[in-house]
Amino acid sequence: MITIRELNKSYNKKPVLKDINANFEDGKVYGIVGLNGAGKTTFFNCLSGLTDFEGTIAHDTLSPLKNHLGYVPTEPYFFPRTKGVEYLHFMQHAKGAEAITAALPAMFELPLDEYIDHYSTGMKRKIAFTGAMVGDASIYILDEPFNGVDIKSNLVLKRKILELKENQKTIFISSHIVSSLTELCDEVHLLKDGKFVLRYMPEQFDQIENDLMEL
Amino acid sequence: MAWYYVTLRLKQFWRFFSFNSIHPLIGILLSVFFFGLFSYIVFVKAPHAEWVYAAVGLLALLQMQNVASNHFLKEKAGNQYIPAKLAENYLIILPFLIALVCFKAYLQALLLGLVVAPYSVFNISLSKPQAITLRSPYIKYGFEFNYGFRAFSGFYLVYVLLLVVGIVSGNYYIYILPFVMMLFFLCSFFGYVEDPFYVWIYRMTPGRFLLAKARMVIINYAITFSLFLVAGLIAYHSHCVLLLSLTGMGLLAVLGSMLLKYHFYPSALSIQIAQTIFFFLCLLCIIVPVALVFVLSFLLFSYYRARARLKNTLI
Repeated sequence: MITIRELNKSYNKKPVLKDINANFEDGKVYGIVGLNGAGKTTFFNCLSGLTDFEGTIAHDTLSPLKNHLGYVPTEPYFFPRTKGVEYLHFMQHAKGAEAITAALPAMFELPLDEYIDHYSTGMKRKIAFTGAMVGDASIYILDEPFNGVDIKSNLVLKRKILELKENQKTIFISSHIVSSLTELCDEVHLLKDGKFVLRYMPEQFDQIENDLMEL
Repeated sequence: MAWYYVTLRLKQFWRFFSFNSIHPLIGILLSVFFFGLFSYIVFVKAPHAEWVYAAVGLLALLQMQNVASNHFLKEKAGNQYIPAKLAENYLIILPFLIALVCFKAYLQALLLGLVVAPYSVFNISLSKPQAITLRSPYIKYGFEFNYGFRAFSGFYLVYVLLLVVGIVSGNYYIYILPFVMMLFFLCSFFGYVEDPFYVWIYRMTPGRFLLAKARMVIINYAITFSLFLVAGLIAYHSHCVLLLSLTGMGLLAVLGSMLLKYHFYPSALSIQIAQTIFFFLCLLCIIVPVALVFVLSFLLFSYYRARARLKNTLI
């Protein structure tokens, strides 16, 4: 279980996350919704350890937590003049993974021998997702994974997330497409002004859109 | 539209300094000072200074063109594109024109001024880059290898060519030139500040991470400069001490460039300033060997600082 206590984060003295306390159980899919600037990406950056913060984020068995994470940032950055295959090799090397299974690069049928600079937005997102799948993580953070991705790849993504869920992985997804979250998630949390203000269980999912409209 | 675009570009220039934590006024004063100093040196020292200076002005104009930004402007501004681009390009070369006039190089100023107009209309940088993928021999290594290799691959050919010319003609200075050139490139891409995600992704302790990076520096350095050293030891064996100390200090300069990056990570400006000072300190060691004590102490200090700096991101 991931335990978060008194999580606070500010940028230039402007508070972005305020006193977040939450528990996230293993093997579940959590959706995070909120308006632009609500703090979703900052929350994920704190969870992953990509940014410093006040408070504690800990897992009862996995330590250090960052070594058990797969992360797809909302705006993945790629080194200039790097091919798709090199990006995956880099991920393998950095994560200390033994090998990349053949199924992984084949997942999205990407032109891996081309420079990522020449990929479309959707293709960049797909290679970032594939990179996050390299190695064996226990927790996955997917920040807006469906943005700019075509219909077929959207279905592939959803299947992959469900496959991860079957394998008892914990997954955090943020998306502005509520239907994608309600299809996949066990719980959805609403983030408003840096705080988790509402938590929805599957039977309450139909309220999410109404609540978002009232924010 | 053209006026608004130029004002926007000037605002961007102003903000460039504030984004790098320099007060814009100080930044502009420093830029004017260094530009004036550079112009003075060129006009006093270089042969055919007027032509060299005009060529530098043209090169600066080419360098400051951004394909994506030009495409965007052309698409959005329609028939206002040419006036906007003309105004922007004349603003870029204005300091060069002023300097040329000050040094009484009227012909070159006129020619430079005339070249800008057709260049703005038929902007060559509007052509899209070709999707050619270059095979890299460093595929299994870190990003610095591939990025650096591809960015400067053309210079490897020049490097080998100059080495051959330097040795065949017996001109020691031509032989040394490619070494200095490649050393700059290696320092620049091992000092390239990567996105924090690419440090975070490593499942290593900071010590192991730095050692892995140092290993990469050594491998890349050996591949790049073994040809230089072997050829030099054969052709210029009387200079062997100088050659060995030059390659040795070069290695320390690249190692320092990498360590200083993580010492100040991710503050890009501090990194660049520290790397420049360290680079010249390494070169100074060749003339004043006692400076090696400072270089080694600095490397050790940077290693410990870098380890401490990376602790938050890597563990």
